[in-house]
Amino acid sequence: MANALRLTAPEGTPLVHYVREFDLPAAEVFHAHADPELYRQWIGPRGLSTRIDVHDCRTGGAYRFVQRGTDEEQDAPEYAFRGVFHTVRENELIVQTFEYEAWPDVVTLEYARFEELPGGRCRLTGRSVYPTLEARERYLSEFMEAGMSEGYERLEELLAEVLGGQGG
Amino acid sequence: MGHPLHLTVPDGVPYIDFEREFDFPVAEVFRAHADPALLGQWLGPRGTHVEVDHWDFRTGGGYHYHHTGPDGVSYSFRGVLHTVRENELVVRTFEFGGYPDSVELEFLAFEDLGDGRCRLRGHTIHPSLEARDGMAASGMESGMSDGYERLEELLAAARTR
Repeated sequence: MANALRLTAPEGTPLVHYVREFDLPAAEVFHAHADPELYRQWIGPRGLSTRIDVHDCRTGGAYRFVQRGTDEEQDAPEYAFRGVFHTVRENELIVQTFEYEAWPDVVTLEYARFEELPGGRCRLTGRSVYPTLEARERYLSEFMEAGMSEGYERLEELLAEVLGGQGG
Repeated sequence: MGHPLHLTVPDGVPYIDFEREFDFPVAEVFRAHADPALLGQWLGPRGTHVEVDHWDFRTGGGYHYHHTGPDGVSYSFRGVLHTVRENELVVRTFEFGGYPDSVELEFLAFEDLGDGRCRLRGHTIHPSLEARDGMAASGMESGMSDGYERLEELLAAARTR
């Protein structure tokens, strides 16, 4: 797929870089990150549902969300994530912290840049910096690639639905 | 009095690590970081003046302050607080206004050593090696070293009062 997630984790560094293009304008993709009701519907892998506790996507704001399996089990495990937004510039840049609460104090610094491309398309360029090399390996193996690439597919589907529903 | 600052700039990873012991209880050293009225009296190199523009020192809070040097030039700094656990841990972002969007994440761990002593351990992570090298070359080490000496002097003065 032309818009597939490209994720790289340079050897010996605590960094993860990723690039993902969308056949959607930067403003729409940014909005899907900033708006809690949209964010809830696409963040994370398929098969999990997300509850947003706080999503104050502005410079100085905070967020927290909890994910769990959508099956009927009462004891389905929950995954809680939280952080603060250092910088939010509309349609351009989000710099935030990120923590999986089950791994307390392993906090990540995350950059997401939104860049307009010709033809109503855009590019999202991300960079995550982990506090240790081990933390990066742990995140990569447990969460990142599948969760992120499915999440962005869901984002595309969601926006296609929302924009289609507007008759656009 | 007068413990040295140990600061390391490891090869190949965008980190800075530092360690500093104090002959003061962990609660006093933590408070000197948490209370803006105290912070303004020790932070940064000697001869600079700190003004705190915004200070909300709690998990989810934020801060903004600026230093003015003897030459009248000001340097502003801001960030958000990811975690604040009293006398134990601060995780916060940090950005120097002169390098916009070069944001670092800082971990400050406060450790009680008993006998009224404590250790501060810092780990800062930077978005790139270049950003880290720029910070390490900025006079950060001497500024921090001065600052921690001033912090000791401030706490010693408070004690004799």
